[in-house]
Amino acid sequence: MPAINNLINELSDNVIAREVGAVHDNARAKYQIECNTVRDFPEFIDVIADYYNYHFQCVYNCGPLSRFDAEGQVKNMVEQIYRQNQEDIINAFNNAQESLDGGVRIVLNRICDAMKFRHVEQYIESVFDRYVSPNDWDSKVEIIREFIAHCSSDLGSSLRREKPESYAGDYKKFIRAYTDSLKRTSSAMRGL
Amino acid sequence: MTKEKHIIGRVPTVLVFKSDSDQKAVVTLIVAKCCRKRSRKRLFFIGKAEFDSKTAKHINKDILPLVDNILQELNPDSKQKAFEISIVNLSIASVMDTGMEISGFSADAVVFTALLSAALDIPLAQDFVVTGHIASADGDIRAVKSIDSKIDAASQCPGIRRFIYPAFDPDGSRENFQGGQLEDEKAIIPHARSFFKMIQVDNICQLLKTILDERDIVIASFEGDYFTACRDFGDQGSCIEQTLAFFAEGNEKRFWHNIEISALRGDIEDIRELLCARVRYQIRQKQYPPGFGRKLLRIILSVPTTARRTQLADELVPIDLYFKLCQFVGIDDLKEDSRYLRDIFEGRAGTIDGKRLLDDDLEIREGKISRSDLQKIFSQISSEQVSKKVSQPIDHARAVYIFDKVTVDSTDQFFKTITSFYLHLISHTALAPAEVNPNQLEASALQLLQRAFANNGGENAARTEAFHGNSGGLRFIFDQMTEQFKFEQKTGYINSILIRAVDQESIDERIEFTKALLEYIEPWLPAEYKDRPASTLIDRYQEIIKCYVSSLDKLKQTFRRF
Repeated sequence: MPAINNLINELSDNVIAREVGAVHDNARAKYQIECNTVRDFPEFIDVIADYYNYHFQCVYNCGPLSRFDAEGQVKNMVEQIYRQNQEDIINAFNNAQESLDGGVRIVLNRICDAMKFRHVEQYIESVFDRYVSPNDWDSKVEIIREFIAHCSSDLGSSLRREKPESYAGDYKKFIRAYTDSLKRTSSAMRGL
Repeated sequence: MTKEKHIIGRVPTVLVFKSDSDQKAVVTLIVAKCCRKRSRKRLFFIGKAEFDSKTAKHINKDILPLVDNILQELNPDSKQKAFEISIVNLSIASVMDTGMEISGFSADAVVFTALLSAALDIPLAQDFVVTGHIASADGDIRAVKSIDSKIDAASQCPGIRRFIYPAFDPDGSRENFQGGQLEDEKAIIPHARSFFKMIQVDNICQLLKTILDERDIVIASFEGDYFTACRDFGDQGSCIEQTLAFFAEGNEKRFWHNIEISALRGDIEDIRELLCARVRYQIRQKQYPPGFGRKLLRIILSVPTTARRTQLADELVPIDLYFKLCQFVGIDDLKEDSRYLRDIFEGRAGTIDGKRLLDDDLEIREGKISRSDLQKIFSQISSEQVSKKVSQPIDHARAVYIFDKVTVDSTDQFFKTITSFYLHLISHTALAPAEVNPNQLEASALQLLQRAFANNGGENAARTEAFHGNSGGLRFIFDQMTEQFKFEQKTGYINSILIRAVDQESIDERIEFTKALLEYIEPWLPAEYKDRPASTLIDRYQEIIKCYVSSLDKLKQTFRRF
């Protein structure tokens, strides 16, 4: 079944890293900060909004966001990122101010990683959209079954346990679960 | 990141115009240019937009002397300059074939900035507007009216990203007379932050620190012959003294910082400009700067290989300038240093090997700390001190290290890249050895990499990551190396303090010291150490310190959750 092979190929680690991850990582690698700490909260917001705007322009090849948009979006993003560890934007600010845990650079790293994972999710979704016909139930079930079979070692146990039919109705759920499993693999590697 | 245009003597501002029923603010520019002095008069207001006579007199009487004062203190040999000042006329005035008249004090800060920029030849960014009244001969800046209208006007102007305004009421005088109005004005600031950075300044030093680029200050200091401050600017209690210190002190550090930043960016033109200006300055001073070649070589070898190979292999400084500078090389050590310089100036930095690369003037810890002052020793190994002395410089070094691509194309490139990064890391810590051989450097870099990836697949896993970039490529590798380096340096730092404290002490004194140490770091120690007698641990400081450093990191992570 060539379609499933192509799908699996397009969703392999290396291809995702090359097509999506590298753009974000290169953007982050090129961004230089003059100072790794901030004096106060307004300066912190300026620093993260500037970075978000830069990263956004670099990755999506577009013009700058308005200050209002950049600030609003990055604040939401930082809240979401830190909430995963039962923290909030104040913890990010404290780190940037006191530099006890890597300072501003770590906060920017986390913003970059969040943008990267969001983009990976969009990429996977767009690949599925190309291979899965939205009005053909059987082909959707089949391709998800094949995908789970081929990638079982990389998928989380919850993904493997579920029947393909349960994802066919809304395969975005499957994509989110798959992206999360990729994220966990990557975090595990970073955490080792 | 594209470089934005900086222009000498041209400063954006917002001016307010009043009609019978309304007031309107508009963004415009004030332009100052040095001109030949034609008479005793030193300020020439030109153009159709003009200051009214009261404002012009105020500029002459209060603003110009402030500029003169700074110029004279920075370079006592400088002659008084004359200036042309113009205000860019507004299109509404120009289509009506008319001019406009500006009154009031709110243009003080902008006129001062324009005059100083023109006088010192320091270009200015064009992404800010500034407003404020210069209220003393010392350069205090005080509040002006109509901040709300000015913010409104600046927010309509797409290029404006910073709004610089005076503190609302630093002396408390407005609180007494205009309490309500003051509160209204303050309430505008959070809203204005959605348009641009709002920066409050109290005096000219804060203003200049906000708007001037460090690189431009260094270049100007060469031209103005105040790169090396030889003068005492007082106790820096006054705004003027602070301003003078800002311009004239720390330029050596600024110079190297900018060279490093430009080298990392691969901005060859910028490096050329900085180096040529420095060499010309040194020739005028008839002095070869000690360690110049080695410092420059160290920076060039620590930039990522891709940028170095493609950008830094060209001539950096004309060779005739090099020979002129070499007239002032004296002792043998400087001769060796100047040979590096020639290789670098001619684009051959990559061919130099087996040389001394690091500063001799780095801090080398010597001498013995008195054990009697235990509190002093413990304060030196507190988490705050360890962070300040060790972690923060390393984090800063990692933060400024930029590179173009997170993957490599060959094994050779991989090794060169991690070696460059390693050199960059050790150059930013005071714990670096005095001498390093590049071959040893590569071996040390590789060893650090191996230790960083010891529990993560080792060198091979790192290399695979650098080729494919699945988890961030070099970004990930550099971060891991940084964390490992930080851990080792923290351990080394604490170790060196403790060894100095107990070195050459008797066994009994060492036991006493160990007891006190264990008591101090007890909260961070694993249970296995807590109940052991101090006498069994006197030779196991390194082990204890590793536990302490690991615990500090874990503790930090735990605190982050609350």
